[in-house]
Amino acid sequence: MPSNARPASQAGETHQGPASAPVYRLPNETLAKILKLVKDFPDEDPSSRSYRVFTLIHVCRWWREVVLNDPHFWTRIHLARIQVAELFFKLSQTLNVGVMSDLLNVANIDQFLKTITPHEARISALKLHFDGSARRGQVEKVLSNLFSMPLKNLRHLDIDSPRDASYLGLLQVPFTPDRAHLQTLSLRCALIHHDSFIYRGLRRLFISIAMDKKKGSFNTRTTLLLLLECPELEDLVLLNMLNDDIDWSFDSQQSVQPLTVELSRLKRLCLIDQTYEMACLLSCLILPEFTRLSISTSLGDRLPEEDSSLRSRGLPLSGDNLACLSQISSLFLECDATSMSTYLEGRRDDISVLDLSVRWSHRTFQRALSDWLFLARSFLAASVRSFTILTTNTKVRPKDWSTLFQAFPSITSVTIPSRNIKTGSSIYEGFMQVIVAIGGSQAPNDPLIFPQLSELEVCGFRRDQSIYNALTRSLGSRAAKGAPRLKRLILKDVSVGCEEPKYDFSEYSEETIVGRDDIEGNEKKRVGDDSDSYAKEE
Amino acid sequence: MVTVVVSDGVTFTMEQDVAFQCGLIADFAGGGGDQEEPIPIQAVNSTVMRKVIEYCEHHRNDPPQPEVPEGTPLERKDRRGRDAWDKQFIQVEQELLFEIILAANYLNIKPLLDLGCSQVAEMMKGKTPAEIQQMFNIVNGFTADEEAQNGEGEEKARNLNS
Repeated sequence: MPSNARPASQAGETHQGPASAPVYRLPNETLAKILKLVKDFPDEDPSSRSYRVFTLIHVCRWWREVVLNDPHFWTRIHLARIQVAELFFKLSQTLNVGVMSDLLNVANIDQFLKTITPHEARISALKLHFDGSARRGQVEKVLSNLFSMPLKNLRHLDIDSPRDASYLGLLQVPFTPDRAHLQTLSLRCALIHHDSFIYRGLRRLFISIAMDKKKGSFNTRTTLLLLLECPELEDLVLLNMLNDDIDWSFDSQQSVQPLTVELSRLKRLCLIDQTYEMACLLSCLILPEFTRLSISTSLGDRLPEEDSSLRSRGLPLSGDNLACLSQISSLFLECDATSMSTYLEGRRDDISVLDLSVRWSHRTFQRALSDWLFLARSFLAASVRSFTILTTNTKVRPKDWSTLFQAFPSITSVTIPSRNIKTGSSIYEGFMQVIVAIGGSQAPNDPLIFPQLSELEVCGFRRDQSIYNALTRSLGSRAAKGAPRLKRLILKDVSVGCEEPKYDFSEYSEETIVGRDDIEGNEKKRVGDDSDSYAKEE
Repeated sequence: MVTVVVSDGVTFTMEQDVAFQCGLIADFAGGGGDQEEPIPIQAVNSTVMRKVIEYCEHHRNDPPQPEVPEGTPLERKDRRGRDAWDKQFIQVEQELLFEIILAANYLNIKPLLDLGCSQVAEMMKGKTPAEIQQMFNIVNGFTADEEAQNGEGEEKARNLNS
């Protein structure tokens, strides 16, 4: 018998309870394992996780003993109230702890610091959120006191500062070589100086900047230079640098080369809401080691009129650099298709899937449409497999959708992942057109617009049954035209309608449709109405 | 082939790669060839053993799972261990579920133990102490005074964290 196994009867004898209740047969260590899973359930407010421990200790005396005597239950501390924090510090014994604090709710800063200080050597994760209403003096006091501590076990640091330019400059965190073990650093709306980045052990860096151009001195190039000082870095996320006042001074390939080398050791590079120039530059620096690159840019007002303007900035758009693009196995481009096609043109044979997205930040749908049609006409029509439609506030004419869909007959997957769409709005009408288009025209002999469609995902249409009704009609129409049934159909948060005759969703197996029971029974008026994940992957 | 005899006298014969997913059996057999004598598994009955063997047969070709460090987020563990077949497999009566967990613990089959524990944890999701007591037929064992304190404590904890 394994040393940790316990005879089934022993637990039952030790703890009072009905002999028939199977839970009493569990050994303490197995019970603890289960209760830790309960404690760590995701998808909820992190602060509620602390409370879940209290739920467990109120179930029975046996569970209470198990939870109170196991310090691992008490290592995640949400510092909403000092009394609770002290209890957690005590019960976690000598283990390292993670501390979250919403500084808005800490009424007494001195007491907060007093509570933290004796245990600073045990803090392995620190997440601080400064609400916009926090007073500047409070913020300064907390930060200066915290970072005057050695914090020798700190592995993960996450600071979310106010979206207020007046706070920029507060977070000049004194990074020192003593903290070389820090692995994750997340800074939101924070101003940092590259001189201070000497965390040689840093593995993940997440930076989000809401930059006031006039006050901020941070720029993207500085971020890249940080790489030179973080030799262990493997995961870099740069978010929201739209207002970055870029100072590109790379004037030759030679000056870029050191960065190219540094970038090659990243396992993941995610650029979200970057300026176009940033996207272009990094596109040119891509090295074969990358297996996935995400570049997202809203373009905004910085879209150059033509590529020559990029070249005039001295960006290295040489053929060698462009050749690196072929090494990327998955490329997510959310930017101007006409411009990006310049980069992709020579690689058309390598592209098997292009995920097209519409986003509200595009200036007009018509502009995006013309870009896509350009792609379709030039070389990509046969390569496009999936089509993702995000929210957009632009006006979309039904004929625009039809034009677009007909330009990409090879599409096999359509995703409409929108939420909270107002009925009757232009985007709502646009989505409706997509769903109607899926069914094709009423004439039985007209060909289907998406003959190869095999996957469809629709979510986010509560309080309106028209989408559901249109969907049932379209699926019925496809079936009538002899199209094979979809391999994968996912409906989330879609209000179930009452279209007659009902579409027979039973032809979809458990694995291919979400909320099937809801649809069949029609007892609930929404499909997948839950915060949990509803998608069942095939 | 490996043969085991369980608590109610039933004998099971299985191939070595199936049997050796049970750490206990692998230890007993010493990692060698075919075992001539049946291995006694006194803590597991035939009903549960059938389920255990069904699980081991389904996962016989799985690559070895790396150790998941303490503190790994649940969703990551889940993605690692629970596929659609597992979810279906573990949808059993409460009595049998706990028997499977005990058997997995006794036989030292960590993935099955993880699966059973996850299922029990899932059942407790979002429930109050009273609901958990009712679901598992638990007598809390608290004195009247302790229960009164519990009520206050629970309320206080809610307030402290709100």
